Amino acid sequence: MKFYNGRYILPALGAFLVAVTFPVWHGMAARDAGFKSPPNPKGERCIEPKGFMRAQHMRLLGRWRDEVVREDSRVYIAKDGHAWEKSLKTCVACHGHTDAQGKSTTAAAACNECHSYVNAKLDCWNCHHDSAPADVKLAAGNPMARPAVSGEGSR
Amino acid sequence: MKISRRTALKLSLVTAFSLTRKHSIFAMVASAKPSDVLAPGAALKAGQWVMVIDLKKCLAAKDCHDACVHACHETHNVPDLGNKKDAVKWIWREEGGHLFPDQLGEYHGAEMARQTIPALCNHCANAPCTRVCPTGATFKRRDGIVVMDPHRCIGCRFCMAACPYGSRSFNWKDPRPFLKKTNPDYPTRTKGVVEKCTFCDERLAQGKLPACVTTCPAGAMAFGDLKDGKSSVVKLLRENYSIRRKPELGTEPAVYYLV
Repeated sequence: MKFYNGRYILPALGAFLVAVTFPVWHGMAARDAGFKSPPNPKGERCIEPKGFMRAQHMRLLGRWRDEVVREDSRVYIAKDGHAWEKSLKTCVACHGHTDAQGKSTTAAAACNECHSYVNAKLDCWNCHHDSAPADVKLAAGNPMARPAVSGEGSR
Repeated sequence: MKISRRTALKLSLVTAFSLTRKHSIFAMVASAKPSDVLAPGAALKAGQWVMVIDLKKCLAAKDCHDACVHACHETHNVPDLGNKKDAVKWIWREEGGHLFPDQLGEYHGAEMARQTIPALCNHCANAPCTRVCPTGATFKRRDGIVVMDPHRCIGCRFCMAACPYGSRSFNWKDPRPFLKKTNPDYPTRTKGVVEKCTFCDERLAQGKLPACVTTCPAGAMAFGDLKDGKSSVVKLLRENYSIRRKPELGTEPAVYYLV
């Protein structure tokens, strides 16, 4: 059997394979680039163990939201028996905080470290406050006003 | 030992049930013990919340400077947009003649018709807003409060068209830049959702009465359970003549005015 036009077909086949597998190897090369771990929260315990929160926090929050707004059930008892207020304020109390150096981190910034990496857009902070009330200074102007974003969508 | 078919079925049912209880962390919420997080023992509960506004006391207090309006709007981060078209209001004052077009007439209640009277969401028994909402974002709780779930609001404003009392406001703009002071304990709203008075459901959960009721310097606002025969509101309604806004519509408001 004779293989005709090999000098055209083989390089073209090679280029084709490179192009088709581009997303795979590009993704592998860029896997950890641009990802920064969110700052450590200040509290001693999280609501549920770390692994559970990493995987399920969005379900937990969605559930809390529905239970508070629609069923007026406002206290969550964690697996370890600790009681928490079902509120983003509970999260913000540890995740949006001022560290020992006086550098403040808003919860929105902490959440965004991961969410912007995976291109997930959060709209929680459009309404909810992302700093712990104690860290909020009410005196000068309104610290919670969002800076105007040009070309902001309809949201 | 031989297990009968009936016993096996029973056992499997019990096992399945106990598994769901144990492994679903959300199932534990249902069995939550009272705790000190919100002092839930102190949460105010009612069969039907109603508000009674004594207009004689209210209108006699000339120097209250609309304390109820300011208290509510500061508590709930209601912005002042500075113009009537965009205005967001939970409680506001309006001429009596506008609030009670068929009840305060030329002679009877003529003076009240010219004065401004507090108005807020009536938390109607037959709330038209909840019937038209396509997403179920506004709904009636078992205790009579008509609440807004802004997470589900898509901004269609059907509820605003349906409400005969003008009690609902739409956020045409991002409200945050228009807040002079922000209460960090209560969220703001965002552009594109409807908002209104919630009878302070978040305060009731903490055992507090609504902000307007506790602030009114004249003590003209009473809040309580209509289903509780011994409550202050039932006493007030028994002993005084009361009117409600637009009774002919059959919405059955939960805000009563003593005239």
